[in-house]
Amino acid sequence: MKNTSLIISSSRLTEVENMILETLEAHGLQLGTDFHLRTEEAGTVQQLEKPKSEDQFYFDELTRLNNEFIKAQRELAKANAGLKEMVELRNRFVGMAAHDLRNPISIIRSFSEILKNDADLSTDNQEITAIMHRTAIFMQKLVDSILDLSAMQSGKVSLNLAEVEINQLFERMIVQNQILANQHGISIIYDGLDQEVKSSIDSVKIGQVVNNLINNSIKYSPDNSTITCTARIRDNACLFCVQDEGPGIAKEDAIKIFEPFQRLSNNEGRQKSVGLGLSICKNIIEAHGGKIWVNSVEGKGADFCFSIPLS
Amino acid sequence: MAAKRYAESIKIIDEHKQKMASEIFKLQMTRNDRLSRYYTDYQKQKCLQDALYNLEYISESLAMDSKELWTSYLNWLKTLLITQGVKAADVVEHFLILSEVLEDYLPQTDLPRIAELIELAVKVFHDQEVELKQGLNKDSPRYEEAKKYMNMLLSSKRNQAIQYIMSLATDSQAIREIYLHILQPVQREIGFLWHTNKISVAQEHYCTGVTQLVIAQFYPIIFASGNKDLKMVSTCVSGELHEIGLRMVTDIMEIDGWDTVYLGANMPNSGILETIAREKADLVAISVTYPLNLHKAEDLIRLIKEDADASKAKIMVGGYPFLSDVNLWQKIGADAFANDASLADGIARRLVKA
Repeated sequence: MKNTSLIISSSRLTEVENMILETLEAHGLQLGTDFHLRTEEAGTVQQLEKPKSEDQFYFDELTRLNNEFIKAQRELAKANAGLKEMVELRNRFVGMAAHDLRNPISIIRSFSEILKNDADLSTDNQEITAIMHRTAIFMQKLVDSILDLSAMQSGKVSLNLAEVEINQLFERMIVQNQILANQHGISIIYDGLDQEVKSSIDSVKIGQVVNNLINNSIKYSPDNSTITCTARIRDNACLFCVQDEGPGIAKEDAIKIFEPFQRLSNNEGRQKSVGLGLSICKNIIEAHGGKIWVNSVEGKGADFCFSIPLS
Repeated sequence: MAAKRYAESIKIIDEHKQKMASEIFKLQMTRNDRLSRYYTDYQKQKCLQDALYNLEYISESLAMDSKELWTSYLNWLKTLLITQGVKAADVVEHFLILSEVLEDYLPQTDLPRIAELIELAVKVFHDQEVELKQGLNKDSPRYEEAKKYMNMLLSSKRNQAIQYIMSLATDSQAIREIYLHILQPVQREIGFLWHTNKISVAQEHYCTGVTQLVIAQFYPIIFASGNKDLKMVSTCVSGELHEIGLRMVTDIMEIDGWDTVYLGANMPNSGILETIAREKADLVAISVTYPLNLHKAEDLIRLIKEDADASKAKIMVGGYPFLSDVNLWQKIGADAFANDASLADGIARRLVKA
């Protein structure tokens, strides 16, 4: 007898199995000894087959597994291509939407700025207008960040490279943040490079990253604490770290913190965050061929670091 | 469908081939003292195995009603045996004994056909010079690259070989070229080297394994390209283990705009039918490399055509046996045959849109 396949609905599986058993018994044959009943394709195909030798069984299984592996590889590549296309579409859409929002928000911001200082308005209305103005500023920041990120994620990070003395750049960014830190009694210590190091980088964008990391640390640091910034040269790369004494980051958050719009589960920052800053930092550092990461134990502060290769 | 003119003989050979092979072997050992004395046990075991293969090929040639298939096998066998030092006269003696044994078993009406097949065997082993078909051709567009890749494979430089091919794979069209002018000819050349006893079967498998790794690296580029308007399911028949040719054709079809579903080697008919119907395939591509699997392809094609849902798909076949007999694809009931991976897309589109 040749192998026989039956395609049956899953609701009739038991009925058909019993029929097969009865037929085999009528011929003095036994299921499991003289024939095997194999169920495949999610329980809808029954295959009645002669028992295979052990070698043949393993050989067929290996071939089947190999097929499954190749199929999975192909399906994964297809799904990945589909996802890439969707991300590209999303970036394009978000970019377009943000671009179209920019002008109206700018108008609201300007007019609310004029109105909030209008002496003819009642105190209550002045306060309402001031809230409107602050919200417009926040929205403008959000839209600008979305536009930046959208351009970066579409592979459009254009770096304006020039030879820069790195230590000076870091010091400048730290000084800029000192005023904000002082308002909360926070001290910023800089343990910088002990030699002059020049490298070809986009100083505006790297400055943006340093500024963002220090600014975030201030947001999450308790009053009267210390933030320590460190710069080192390691393996022909410049390593820069910002360590604070804030609440730290939960392990599950550390993995996704550089993704867009991720908020921390213990979000206790002083200011409302748009949730895009670290994504933008990641894109900038990666465009320089570097890496960015965070070391943290929840409750014991966070240590954000990046490393960029020296040219 | 192929006319089953020799149905009874095919049935007899299939049922009694083990016994026949044993009789052929014993007769030859009795008559040929030299073989009986000097062949090692391993060589004798191979002799018996070859008798079985020869009977199976006769059965398949009768089933396909194809003398070309038989001749192609004989040429392949001659190269294999002669390069291993087997004497042509011993093989001729073997075929004459095989003919005697078959005369005792098969119906008189089919014996003239058997005589024709044996005559062909004697002619090939006595007279004919076998033309060796190498895979690499100096006139091929990417000969130098193909040679370089093959040398890396034969020197077991796996990572270097993968890196080299990936450096050439700049986009999907470049991959198409790599398939057609580097990987395909190199695989054929590797097969040729094994066939002519220049490399071991382990080396052949190693080279194939590396090429499979290379193919997997192509996927992110292959699957990133454009809209797909037609769907193809590609498969080997049950028992067919040679799947690399099918993978190459499937990927080339994907590059050429087909949404492909690859099923792979040794697929049971039930799974193939179910996938064709579920995927609403426009085309099913069936690959046969081992000629003894031709009748399985014929069975599968019949099942597809009888199935209410699967029968909507057109059927294209490809693989080594179809090159030896250009009418074979029609004999087994296929709708088309692609004799080259580069032509598969054009042939399939005409077929589907006809």
